[in-house]
Amino acid sequence: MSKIPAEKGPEFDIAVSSRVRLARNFADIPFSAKMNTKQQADLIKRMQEIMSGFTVYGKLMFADMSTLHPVDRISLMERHLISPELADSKENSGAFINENENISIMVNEEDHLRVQSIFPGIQLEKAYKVCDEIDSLIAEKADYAFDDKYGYLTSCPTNIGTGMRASVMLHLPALVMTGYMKSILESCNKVGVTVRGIYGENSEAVGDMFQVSNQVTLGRKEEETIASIDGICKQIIDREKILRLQLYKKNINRFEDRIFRSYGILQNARILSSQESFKLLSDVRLGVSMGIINDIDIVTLNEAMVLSQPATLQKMSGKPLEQDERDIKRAELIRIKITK
Amino acid sequence: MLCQNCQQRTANVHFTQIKNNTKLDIYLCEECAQEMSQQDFISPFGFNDLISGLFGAQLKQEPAVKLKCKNCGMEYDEFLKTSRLGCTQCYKAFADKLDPIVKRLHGNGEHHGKVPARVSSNVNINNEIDKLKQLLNEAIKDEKYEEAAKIRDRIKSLEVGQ
Repeated sequence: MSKIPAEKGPEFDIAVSSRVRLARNFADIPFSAKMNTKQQADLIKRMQEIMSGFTVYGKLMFADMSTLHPVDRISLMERHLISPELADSKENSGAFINENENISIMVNEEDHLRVQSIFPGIQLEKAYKVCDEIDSLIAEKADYAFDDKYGYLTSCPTNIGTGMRASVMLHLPALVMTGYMKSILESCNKVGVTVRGIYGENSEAVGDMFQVSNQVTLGRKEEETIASIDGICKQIIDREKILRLQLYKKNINRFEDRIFRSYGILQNARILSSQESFKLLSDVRLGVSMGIINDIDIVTLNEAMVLSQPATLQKMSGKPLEQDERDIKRAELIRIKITK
Repeated sequence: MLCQNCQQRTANVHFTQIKNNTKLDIYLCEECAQEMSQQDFISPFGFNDLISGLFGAQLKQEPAVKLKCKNCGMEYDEFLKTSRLGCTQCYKAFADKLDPIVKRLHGNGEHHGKVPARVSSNVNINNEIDKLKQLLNEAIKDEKYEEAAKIRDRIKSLEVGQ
């Protein structure tokens, strides 16, 4: 089970988690697209040596993609510890992950390294501080590909400069219900901020969850980017809070009915698809955060959301499952989780 | 423009795909775009394709010249398809083409963020020298010669120290 949702952070009822990642490449080897197998294996070895003495955030274990079962790989992806691209790869790649599961250093992904840190609630500064510390440690031991003008050189020019992507996952049911999400998407785009579904690239919003992140990586200091994403997220959170209250006051019965219905289905259903469970969990999460439902915790709902995802679900069951079996198992796990 | 799928609503979603060096534009209304993405119809137009669409936008007016990075063997065409460069030298080998792309992606800025420890001293000095040179020009323009002389001495001492 992921440790990510197990504690609460600032604004945790709307901001699920904050994540920062740095894209880094070494100067003495080609980028991933032109690396041979030996260079890939050597890079893993190099990183194992560099990271072996680093225990500030607990011991980092290397999750080797070549030996990991596909279900475990996808489960790591669902918990945002590795990217879909890494989960798909077969040989000579992996990730160093600490015990608390808030640090992950992917090796041989699109870039040589993707240093990532994730914290609950809105805590981008903290996440950056951790990444910065790990990054400085690596930089002491090996030369990064770096250019005066373009900053850290990355395999894709979209990441040059700081190589940093700072993102916050937000639960925004009221903005979706009222249709304001569309205008938020538009205005964010204008100021170089991307808003997309929870799995990152190519994904639709699931369960009213959105990921807000910076588009531009060149020309701004890391701290400036962090501050602007932080500021934008706080504005979105404020608007979401206002709309939640307005929706509630407009028709209290209808609002509570929707939330308790969803709660009822989750407590009693025997078959749940992932789409349906995300929708219902979103309603219940809204109800808990507004104090309408009091006998369940947001953290429990975060956990239910994580374990509803197909691979984590199969990992919990200890065996691969067909879709029908998964929907039955999902209903069962959520039922146990939320009626405890 | 009308949506190419339903031919009824206004198209406000634009997809570009570069395949075998030909550019394919698709204009859809929001409803159709959403519907098709649910049917996985649009999945071939993933993030990378959209990005390479952006990179490839300048292909049209230019004759096809085979650009290749001598260090890693990456061809510019290959980069357009995959949006991945092969090595640090690719940035120099394709500089003429990459500069406008970088401007489109990030604006006119240069790197102002963190500098790795091992190169930082030189880069920091270079940045400082650049800034002082700018100040020097301004001082000369404003005919503040005394100040200009001070700045010039500071630049000299930094350059000697490198």
